[in-house]
Amino acid sequence: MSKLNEIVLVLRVAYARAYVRIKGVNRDLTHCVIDVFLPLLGISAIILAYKSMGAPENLLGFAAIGGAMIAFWYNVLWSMGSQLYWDKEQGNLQLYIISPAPLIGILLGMAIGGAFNMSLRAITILIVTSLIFNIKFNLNAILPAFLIFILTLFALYSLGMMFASSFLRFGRSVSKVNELLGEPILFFSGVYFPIKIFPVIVQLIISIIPLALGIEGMREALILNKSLFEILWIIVLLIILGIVFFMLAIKMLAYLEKLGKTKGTLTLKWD
Amino acid sequence: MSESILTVNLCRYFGHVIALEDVNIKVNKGEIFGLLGPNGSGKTTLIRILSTALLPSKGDAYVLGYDVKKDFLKIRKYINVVSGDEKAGYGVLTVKENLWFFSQLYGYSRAEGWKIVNELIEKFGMQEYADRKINRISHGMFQKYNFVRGLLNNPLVLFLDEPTLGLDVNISREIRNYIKEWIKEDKERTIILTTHYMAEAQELCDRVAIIYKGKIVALDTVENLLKILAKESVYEIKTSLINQNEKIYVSGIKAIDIENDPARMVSKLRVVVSEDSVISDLLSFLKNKGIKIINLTKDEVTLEDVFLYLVGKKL
Repeated sequence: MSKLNEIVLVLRVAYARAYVRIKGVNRDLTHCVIDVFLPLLGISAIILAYKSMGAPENLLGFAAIGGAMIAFWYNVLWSMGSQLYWDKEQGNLQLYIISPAPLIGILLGMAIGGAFNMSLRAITILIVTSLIFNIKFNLNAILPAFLIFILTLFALYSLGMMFASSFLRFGRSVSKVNELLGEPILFFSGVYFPIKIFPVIVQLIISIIPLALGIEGMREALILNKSLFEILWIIVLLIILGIVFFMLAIKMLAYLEKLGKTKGTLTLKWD
Repeated sequence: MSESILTVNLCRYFGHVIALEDVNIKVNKGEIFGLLGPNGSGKTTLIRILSTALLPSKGDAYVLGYDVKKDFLKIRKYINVVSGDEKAGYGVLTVKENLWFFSQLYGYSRAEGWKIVNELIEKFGMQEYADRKINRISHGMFQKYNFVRGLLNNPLVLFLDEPTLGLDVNISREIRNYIKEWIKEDKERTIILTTHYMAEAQELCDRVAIIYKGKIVALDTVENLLKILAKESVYEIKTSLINQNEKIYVSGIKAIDIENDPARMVSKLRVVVSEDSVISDLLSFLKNKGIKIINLTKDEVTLEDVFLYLVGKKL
């Protein structure tokens, strides 16, 4: 198979897998309540708390952006991470492996589908909170903010692909790691407060978390009216993180597929 | 090249467990080749190796002339697997959508994928439930969908792992008919079939390999396998319930299987003997043990008897 044909196949597989995710999730409307209405209550509580304390207006926008991004993290951690594991249990993984489809196409499709679903919800949350609480966003910065948003998703879902590979290798035991990562990452990403309150050294460490960078970048563009030049470092870092995570995910997947074929772990269930 | 599958001293170990040991088979194009063996005998491991989902520990395996270790990407285009115990697919999608999704794994364009799916749905008479979610269809319908999924890439080698497992008589017959029709359509096609149902193997397979504890204990046409017992006789004896721990020692018995039915308080013995006189010894033995004989019949030799004779127990 030529390189071009391989790329076409990866894209076709990714499209098909994204179709499953988007069609499947949107067919069940209870997700709208779970993914939009319930997070909206949580974000509203924080915004109301800020309002009641007379906090600066900026913080309301900070909370709205951070709150809208939480869903992506959980989606990456749980839906992305564990999906291949459930695919294995159902027998889908074996069918993926025996087909000419590269597994990276499957993961890419899961990422695109998940990111699309979550984006619809995040945008809805942002619009609704801005209308209810009269939060003003700098609409002139919509393009840089959108760029940061897309790059954040690229880095975040590449990280998700790495989680998925780990699930493939270590099975359900990885869920403990996910549980350990869940809340701390949200805390250090400063979903409801600016990460600038952390000491510089902590901020430096945090800068390898795509979620933290993305939230910070969008806040600086949409709330603090920073110029593109001022947020360029975030864009560059997100690009680097995205590429590194994506390459690592490809390597991990290839390695784990080979290891799985040798040890038999790709086809053994309840592992 | 007349063969589609060739294995040479194929071995597979899982730690200290031997799943396959020195398996040598050659399957010709146009053949339905059966793999018979109890659970854990190595049938599924062999299918997994041949379908490139698992690597062998030792030895070689070739599918359509390609090495499963090196050329797995070339093999994958031409094969597919259907397992009777799998629930492959996504419950939130319809039969049609699931089939389209799986078609995309083989490089078809979106439109080509839908075209193939629609053709197969029509061919297999699945229109009635094509738009139903797969988690809302019966086991029989699901298995038919699963079988059709295996044909999406028009494979040259189709691995059927217990395709009629748990199905009712009518659906099983329907699936068996599809299998027979499908193989007849193209002489280049090959089917590797594992089944627990001896009658199914007898009906469908051109040749059968009996696999036990990872080793091939017999490999031949069904006709020739039946000839193994050409000089033997098979008897079925119905008795009062025999104690589970009861050992039956009568010289001359080549193979024996005891099936207890505690609900009806009866046991059924299937006995392979080389001389009919052994049966009278057996009847005396049973009588001395206080076991009542209800019925005795001489039976035709089946593949099941050959299996019992070779392996020492029923499948």
